[in-house]
Amino acid sequence: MEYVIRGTVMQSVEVTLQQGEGVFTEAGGMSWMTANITMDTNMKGGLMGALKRAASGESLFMTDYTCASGTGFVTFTPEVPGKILVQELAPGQSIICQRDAFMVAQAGVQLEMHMHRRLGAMFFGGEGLFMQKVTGPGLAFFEIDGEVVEYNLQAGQGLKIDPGHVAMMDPTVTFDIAQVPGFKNILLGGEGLFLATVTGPGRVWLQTMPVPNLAMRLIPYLPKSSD
Amino acid sequence: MQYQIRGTVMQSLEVSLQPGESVYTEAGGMSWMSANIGMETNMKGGLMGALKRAASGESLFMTTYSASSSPGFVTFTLEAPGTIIPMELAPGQTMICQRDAFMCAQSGVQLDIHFTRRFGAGLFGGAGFILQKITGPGMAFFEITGEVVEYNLQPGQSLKVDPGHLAMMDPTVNFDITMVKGVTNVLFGGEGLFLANVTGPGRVWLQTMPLANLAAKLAHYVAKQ
Repeated sequence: MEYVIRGTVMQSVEVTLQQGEGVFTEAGGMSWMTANITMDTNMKGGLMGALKRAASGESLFMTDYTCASGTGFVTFTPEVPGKILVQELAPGQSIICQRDAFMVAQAGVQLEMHMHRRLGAMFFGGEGLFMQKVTGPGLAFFEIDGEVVEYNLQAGQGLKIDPGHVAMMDPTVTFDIAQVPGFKNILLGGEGLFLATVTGPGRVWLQTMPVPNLAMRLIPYLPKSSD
Repeated sequence: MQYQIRGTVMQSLEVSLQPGESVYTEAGGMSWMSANIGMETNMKGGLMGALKRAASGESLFMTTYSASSSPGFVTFTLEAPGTIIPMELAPGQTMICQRDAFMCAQSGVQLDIHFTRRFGAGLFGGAGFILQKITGPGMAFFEITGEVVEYNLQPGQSLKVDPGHLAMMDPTVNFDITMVKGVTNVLFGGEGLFLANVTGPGRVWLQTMPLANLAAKLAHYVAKQ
């Protein structure tokens, strides 16, 4: 499967499909495509798969785009300024991502809900609790809000992160959510109660401009209901 | 203090701290950091300092990030597309910026509300035109929404600016808000009633995409609650 990523900070990915090749995404994810591509929306993975996706915040339904004859292409675009990352996953190789990061993947790639095992993450995670596990074989594309900063953590090396900035990580990375120590920080810090801690070994991809933060900045300027 | 600015139009700032070094920002400003950095939130400058900050639209509380025993780093990111401007301020050197432009600074940098002397600015300014004064010594970082255009104004040279586009200026620049003359402009100009007038000598930094303008474009598509 061939693809080209265009643009700098408002990117698009165009996937070229030969006859019989397919990709899938959340229902509604396609931006434009050639006329010979067929669309089929279904509950990929059956009812249980769909419910697990719904629990992790993704759509119940997925759409398959398949090339019926000849050669065609499908283009996907992120809805806010951001970067597209591509991973060529070997059979059985997994990447963990936050629930909005999965964009599109080649048929054959598995998409599952991922629950972090650490107790802190379970009880206090909020948005950090459910992530997605994307498993090969095949190409998978991820969307990052804003620009991306990648760290390759050594074993035991840790980072503390405002949780919305976590985009993607290797499954070897330990993820936990911890309360910020000290009463003052909790009441006054503005970080919320919790910071994520990621610990190596493995790679983490952080995003600079989570959409909730952008929305928070814009909300004061938006009309209120009384207007 | 070492730092690195990454990215093009959605930048991030990574500040490297040696043991004993620290930076401060508004409460809530940090995005990620190495695990050995300590955080402390307080009313920097005491109650009066905090109240003055609140009056200029900043947070009452500031958070200080410090490296205690080993070197570490703290990363700050912009919440909207924009550009980061670093300034190394000499002792007593100041910069004037609009209230959302201050991002973070090395401890030692002072942050104050700035009262403009001109009557027009004070009277007609409204909340949008409250400015901050940042005084060295130390590194200070500013966030510009959108991209930045810098002008170095000669003495007496001036620009009229839709006020939301004014990000930062040297303290030598004269700043005033004036009413747009003529009823046609007022009613149909789309610039609102007021324009900022900046007069040299000194540098001004203008921002291309004020958040209020971006929000106004998006507001058409946002369902009212």
